[in-house]
Amino acid sequence: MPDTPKHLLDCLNLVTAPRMSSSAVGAAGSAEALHMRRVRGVFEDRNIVGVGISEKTAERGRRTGELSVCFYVEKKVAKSKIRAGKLVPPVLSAPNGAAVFTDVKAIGRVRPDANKKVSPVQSGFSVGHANITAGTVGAIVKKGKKLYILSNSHVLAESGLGKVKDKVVYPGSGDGGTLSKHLVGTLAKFVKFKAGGRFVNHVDCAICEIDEDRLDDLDLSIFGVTGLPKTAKAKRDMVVIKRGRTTGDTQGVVEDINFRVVIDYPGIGEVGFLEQVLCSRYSKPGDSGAIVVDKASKAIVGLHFAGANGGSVFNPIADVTKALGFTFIRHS
Amino acid sequence: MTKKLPSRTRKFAKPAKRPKTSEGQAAAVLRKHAERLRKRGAHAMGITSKGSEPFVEVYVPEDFDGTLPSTIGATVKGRKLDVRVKATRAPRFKPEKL
Repeated sequence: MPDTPKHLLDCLNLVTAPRMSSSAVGAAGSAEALHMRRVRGVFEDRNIVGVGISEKTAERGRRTGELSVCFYVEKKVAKSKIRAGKLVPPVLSAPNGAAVFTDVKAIGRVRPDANKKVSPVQSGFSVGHANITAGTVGAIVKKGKKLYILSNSHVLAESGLGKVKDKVVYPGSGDGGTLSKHLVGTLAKFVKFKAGGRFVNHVDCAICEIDEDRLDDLDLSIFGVTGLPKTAKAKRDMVVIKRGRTTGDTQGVVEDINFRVVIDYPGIGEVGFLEQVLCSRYSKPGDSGAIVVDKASKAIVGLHFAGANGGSVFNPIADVTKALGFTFIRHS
Repeated sequence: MTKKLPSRTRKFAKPAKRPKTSEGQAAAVLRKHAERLRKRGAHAMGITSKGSEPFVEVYVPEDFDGTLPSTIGATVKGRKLDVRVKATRAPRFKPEKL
């Protein structure tokens, strides 16, 4: 396939540029301008998820050897069900007057890549109570003789609305996890919130007991930690790292170790936390439950649970281990 | 010969330099005012120290139209302390499940 011809690229730019320049399309009101306005109007349909240049395919996927401007859709819809003005035109007029064929290909809904997998069970990857979307496995920890997944209460315990023995899936159901194929364990312990908004809560944490048949499918490593995991207290200006379901491996800087915050938990109400740690933003929704590590000393300092444009917030790890009574495990 | 004028002398004692408030002291003052600030409309607060003396940063909703004190004070271990308050409009923090 030769390099993309210029007229195709110009056509693509005309279709996708933020604003249509009249010099490129011809005078306003001209046939070319009206034609392009109609084509750009096609993007109002949410079914269209992208546009580019690719080889046109005919019926049954037969390759034609001809490049075209391709409109990518979530799913193909019968022409009879689309209004005339919203149909992708079969041919576009390039700025140099050349005719450019179009194509339509179904590729599904485009989503950012996420840390999700079905095996092995590992820190930093998607997990969740069967009734919620997804959060992150913080770590695989030990309590007594059993192994558990550590994460937040709002990830494993429906923010305290769940019950012990509730089922947990890996990956989380928001990432395609199902009870029939991806069951990883059952809720074992969580810290109940004291709602009402007063600054009386210290942690948002829970552990899920890992099913026996998943015990051979574990990776005990924690991003940024080597040898026997040690814990430490966060300090101002500390550079911290984490691995989460949504943003993967990121880092932030500790800005406040006396942070108090009121967070609204749907179904629970306002929950006030005190003595939390505020960092520069290192997370997005889906990263809840990630273990936060001091980049320099490789010590675990916290359990991530909340965020906003203003920053990311984690529970001090000492409060988490004290509340749930577990220990971290060495990864050999 | 012109009589030499006496040099200026200080009539009043120079006020003693106030030692800077430490982060821990600022946190102790905040502890005593946190609930009051929350009831005034703050959704988050903490101690910030960007190269200067620590101060209390209070986060309020973006549509906040109330008032907040410019300083808060308390006696900590026998010492009367005042800490500056800075209000910042910011969206509320949320739990970060997907």
